[in-house]
Amino acid sequence: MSRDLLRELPVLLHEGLITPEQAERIKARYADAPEGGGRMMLFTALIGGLLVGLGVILVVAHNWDDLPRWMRTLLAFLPVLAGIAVITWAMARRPDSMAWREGGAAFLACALCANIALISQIYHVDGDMAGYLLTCSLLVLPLLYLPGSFAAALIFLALATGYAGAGFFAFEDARRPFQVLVLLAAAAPAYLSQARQRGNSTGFWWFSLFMALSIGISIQFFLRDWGLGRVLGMVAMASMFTLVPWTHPGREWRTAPWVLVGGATLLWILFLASYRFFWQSQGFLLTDQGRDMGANWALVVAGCTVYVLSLRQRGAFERWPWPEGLPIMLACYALSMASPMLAAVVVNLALLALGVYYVRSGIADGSLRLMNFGLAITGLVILLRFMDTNLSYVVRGLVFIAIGAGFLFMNLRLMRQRGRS
Amino acid sequence: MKLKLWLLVAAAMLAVPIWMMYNHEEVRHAGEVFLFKTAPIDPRDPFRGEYVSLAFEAERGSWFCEGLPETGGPTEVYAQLDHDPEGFAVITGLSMDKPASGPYVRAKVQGWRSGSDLVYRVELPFDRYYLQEGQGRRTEELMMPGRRNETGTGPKESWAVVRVHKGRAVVEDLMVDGRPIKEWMGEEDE
Repeated sequence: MSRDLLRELPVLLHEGLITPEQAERIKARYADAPEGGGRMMLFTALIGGLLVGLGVILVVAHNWDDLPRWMRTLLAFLPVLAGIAVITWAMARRPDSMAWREGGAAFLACALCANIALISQIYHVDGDMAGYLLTCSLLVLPLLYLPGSFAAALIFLALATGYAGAGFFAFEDARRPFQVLVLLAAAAPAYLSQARQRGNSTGFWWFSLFMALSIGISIQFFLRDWGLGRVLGMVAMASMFTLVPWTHPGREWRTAPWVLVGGATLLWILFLASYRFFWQSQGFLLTDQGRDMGANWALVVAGCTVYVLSLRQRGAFERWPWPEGLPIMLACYALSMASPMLAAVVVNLALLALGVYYVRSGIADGSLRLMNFGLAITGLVILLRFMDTNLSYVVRGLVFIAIGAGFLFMNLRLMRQRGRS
Repeated sequence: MKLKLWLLVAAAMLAVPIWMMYNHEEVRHAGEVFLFKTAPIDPRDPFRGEYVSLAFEAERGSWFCEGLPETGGPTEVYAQLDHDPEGFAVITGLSMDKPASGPYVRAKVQGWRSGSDLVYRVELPFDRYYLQEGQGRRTEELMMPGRRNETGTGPKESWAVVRVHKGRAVVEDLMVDGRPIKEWMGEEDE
C-alpha cells in the first residue's frame, strides 16, 4: 500500500493535486515506517543478512589449508566485496529501503569480521582477542553513519563491549581498555542522529538497549575491586540511566531500555544491600584495595550532579522511583558507619516501599504486570528475611502459603476490577 | 555526495586487511630466517579457528635492560637476535632504543619481584601458528614433552621458522623433527 502511494507521488505532483512539500512529507512518513509486508521483508532481510554473515565466519574459521593461499585470500575478500556492492546498490537505487540497508549492513559487518579473521589465519598474523575485536569494531563503526544501520550499531556495540571484556582478562593490572571509551563516544552521534530521525522505531529501542548494556558492562571492565565503592559507583550510573527519558521531554523517543537496565541493576543491588553482611567491613569490603577509588568517586559525583539537576524537571518519585535509589544508598552508606544493621533495615524498608509503589501503580492503571512486579518484590523481601532467621520449617511453610495466597487474591481482585470497568 | 563518501569508506575498509597482508609479505620476502625452539599448547580462537600457541626456549632466562621500569605493566623493548652454534635463535640483549645494527624484534618485557630478586619476563611478538580444524590437539600430542613415540625416544624436537625484518616478525612454518608440521598431519590423515 505505502509503496503504491510512493509510486503515485510524481503523478499526483504533476497533476497539481499535492504540493512538493506535501510530497516530501508523505515520502518521509512512509520511508521509515514499513507496514505489513514491508516489516516482514525487513525482518527476513536482517535475519538473512546475519545468518549468511555468521555462516561465512563459520566456514572460514575452518581453515581451508588444502586451497592455495591466493585462493583463500580471494575467498576472504569476496563476502566483503559482495557486502560493499549490496550497500552501494541500495544507496544508489533504494535509498529509502530499510530492508536493504539493514540486511546489507548486517551482512557486511559479519563479512568484515570474517575477513580479518581469515587474513590473520592465512598469514599467521599475531595478536590477541582484544586486538582482533578492536580492529573489527573500528571497521564496523563507519556503518553506523553510512548507510546508517541499526543492525550494524548493535554488532558494533557487542564488539566494543567484547573488546573491553577481552582487554580486562588479557591486560595486566595497570592497564585499562581505554579505547572502549573512544569507541562508545564514536557511536554517540549516530545514536543521537537515529533518535532524531527514527526515535520512535523498534530499531531505536534495540539501539537504546545495547547502548545502555554496552556502557554499563564496559565500565565494569575498568574496575578491579569488588567493594562498597564500586557498588556505589554502579548505583550512581544506574540512577543516571533511569533519568535518560527525562532528557528529551515532549519527544517520543524509545529510551525505555535505559530505565530497564538501570532499574534492574538498582533492584539487584538493593537486594544485595538488604543483607547486614553487605555493610560490614569484615564481609564485602575486604576485596576493596582502593585501586578504583578515582573511577568510583567520579561516577558518584556525576550521579549526584545529574540527580540534583534532574529535580528541576521532575519531582522526586515522579513516573518511577528508580533515580531515588542513589540518595537512599548514599544515606545508608552514611548510616552504616554508625550501625550496619540500621543501614540494612533501611534498605529492606526501601524495597518494601518499592513493592507497594508498584502494587499501587498496577491497581491504579489496571496493569497486572506492574502489580505482580510489585508483589514479587514485596514477597521476595519477606521470603529472604525469613530465610535469614532460624524459624522452623512449619513457620517458613506458612509464610510461603501466605505470600502465594496474597498473589492469587490480588490478581483475582484486579481482574474483577477490570471486568467491572 | 553520500555515495562518494561511502565508496571512500568502503575503500578504507578494504585497505585494512590489504595493509595487514602487505606487512606480512614484506617480512616474508626481505626478512632473515630465525629458528625458534618451541613447545606448543593447543588453544582455540572462536573467530579465527584452531592454532597452536608457541612457547619459545629463547624467551627463558633472566634479563637485564638499561632504563627498564621495575614495576608497572609490560614495557615494549627491542630484543636483539642471533643464532647459536646449532643454528637456533637466541636473544642476545634487550634495549629501550632501537639497535643501530643487527636483527631485532619488538618484544614485551615485564618485571616482578621474586623474593628479593627482580625478575624480567620476555614475550616475543609472535606466539601462534594456525592449523586446520582438528590438528591442534594432534600437533600438541606430537610435540609435547613426555609423549612417547613409537620408537620410545620421547618428544620430538620442534621449532618455528620465523622471518625477521625491521623489527617485525612473521611465523613462516612449524617444523617437527626437521619436517614441516603439514607433512606430519598429511601422513597421519593418509
